[in-house]
Amino acid sequence: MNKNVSGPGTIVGANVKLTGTLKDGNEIVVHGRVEGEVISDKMVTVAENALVKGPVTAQIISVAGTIRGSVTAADKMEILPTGKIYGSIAAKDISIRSGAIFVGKCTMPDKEEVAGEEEEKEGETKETAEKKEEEAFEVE
Amino acid sequence: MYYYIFEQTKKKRVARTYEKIKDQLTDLGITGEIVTPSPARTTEELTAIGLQKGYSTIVGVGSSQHINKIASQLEGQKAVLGVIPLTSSTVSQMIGVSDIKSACEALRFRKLEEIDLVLIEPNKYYLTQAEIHITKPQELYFELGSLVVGRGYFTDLTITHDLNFYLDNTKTQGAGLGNFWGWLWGKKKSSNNFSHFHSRRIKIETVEPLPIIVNGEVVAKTPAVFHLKQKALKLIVARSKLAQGDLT
Repeated sequence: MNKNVSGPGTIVGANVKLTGTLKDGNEIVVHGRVEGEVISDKMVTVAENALVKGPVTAQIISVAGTIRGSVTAADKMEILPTGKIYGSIAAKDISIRSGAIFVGKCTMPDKEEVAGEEEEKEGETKETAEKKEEEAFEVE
Repeated sequence: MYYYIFEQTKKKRVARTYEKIKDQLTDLGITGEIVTPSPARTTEELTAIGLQKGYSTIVGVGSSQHINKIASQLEGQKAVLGVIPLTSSTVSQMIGVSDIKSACEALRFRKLEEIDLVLIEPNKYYLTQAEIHITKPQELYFELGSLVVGRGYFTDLTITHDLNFYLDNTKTQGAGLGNFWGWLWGKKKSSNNFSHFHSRRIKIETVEPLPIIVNGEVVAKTPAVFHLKQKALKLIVARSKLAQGDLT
């Protein structure tokens, strides 16, 4: 829907219900109800009494309302005391405050894992390059 | 080169202001043909005549409503729009001028900025913003692009010239006994009934048809579809204005 990086972000008011994919280059704040995917390049805030039914993806995610769906934060993820998440979380940095509800699986890719994955990828690319070279010689 | 369309007026004060503007344009060396709409020739017709005559700069002098009529005709044209607003308005903010003198000087320096216009289907363009204001909240159905549909209650709706869509229902929060007690106990009013979206196409629909107002004039009624026409108009802005789509 929205890919305006320079403009102000998206705000879903408390009396608004949306269905569909909500996408913004800037911050998205949800006070109301969203049924569908919520994607931001920066931050997603799910305010108290707000409900998101669908996956949420952003750099930073703050939850004081309810999310029913997977949550992927490239950087930080915070569940405030009134926050509820029913779904899996993947984030580098997670903070779950006392009183918050989280039902699901949590994945935290640490730096070593990320570095390991990168090395593996590099190794794979080298191997594939060597294989290609070999195949090229075979053709000749 | 310059084609000035002065808004028709019967007010002596405005007529005096027009004389001052003409003097300033002469001093700055940017005089040109001056026309005024009449019952025989509307603003839109005069703009079309200016374009036919091959003028490269069409200047609107008057209210935002008058300037908007000219802007509508210049969509997609080579001619540039110049503006001398008589009062502080959305248009004066848009071009970055604070008074008539600075507006005349801006015309002389001719710094151009490509700006967006909004088309309300089938053929109404606007430069400023479209609004709907009602006293009792009504339900609104809307579509943002082709991906999002939504509904909500509102009392104030604004769609700007770059298709920023603001929906407000905070008026209703001011009434009722609960708010009185809230005020008495020092509780802060919640501002979370405010929504903001941005899209290239917005469709709005209400239970009852509501008038859509641009610069105090009803231009359409709901249901309506708004389209963003990016960089549809070349506008002369003040030299000091920090432009996004600078052409100079």
